[in-house]
Amino acid sequence: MCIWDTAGQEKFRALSRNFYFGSHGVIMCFDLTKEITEEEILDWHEEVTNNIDKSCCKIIVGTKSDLADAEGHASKKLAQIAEKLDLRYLETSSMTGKNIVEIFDIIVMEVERRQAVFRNGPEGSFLYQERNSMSLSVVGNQHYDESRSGKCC
Amino acid sequence: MRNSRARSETPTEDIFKAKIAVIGDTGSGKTSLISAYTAMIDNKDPNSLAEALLTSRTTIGNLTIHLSVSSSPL
Repeated sequence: MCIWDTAGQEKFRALSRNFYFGSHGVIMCFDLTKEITEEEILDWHEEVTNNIDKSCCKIIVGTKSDLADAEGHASKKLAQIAEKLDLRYLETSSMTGKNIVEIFDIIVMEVERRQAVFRNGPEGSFLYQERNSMSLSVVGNQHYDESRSGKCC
Repeated sequence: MRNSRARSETPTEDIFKAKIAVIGDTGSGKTSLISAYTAMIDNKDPNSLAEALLTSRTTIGNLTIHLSVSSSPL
């Protein structure tokens, strides 16, 4: 398993894309001690869906749960949006070790499950789509971009 | 040759190929998350986590490789 740590600064965003391009799983981190807006979360989600295969395993993580406010405003917002996006949400604390191993367990098991799908039946498997990107529009109709058909660039 | 072919069919090899990216805004705890995970996998000692987090350097890009995941249900 290769874990890629990326830069969070906006100025390094283009560079970070090179690091997480082709990832099988993405952990999206949000600081629970700060105010989180829906836009921020959706921006990161869009960043992932635009630059990584749509079928890669994504998980939303609220970090620093040991320092989070008692009301849990950020936590509630993250949970709400994760549900909206149909993604799994977990809270972690790197200081106490809460849910740290669990996150990687979940994501590795999901990648493994998807690879098993690939071994047993290629359709629907992201690895198959990745390796056969030329035939993606034929295999998976949901990914077919009609506007680009027959056009160059 | 036969041995390497047999090994390549084990699920463990598939997990090794997995590429996981940790993303988020600056200061969101990405590096700490990975550091804590590495410390927990290596030591399994919760008291050592604080030491692993004593860094405030900016990350541009960093790769951590785990050859095996002991907690994987295989």
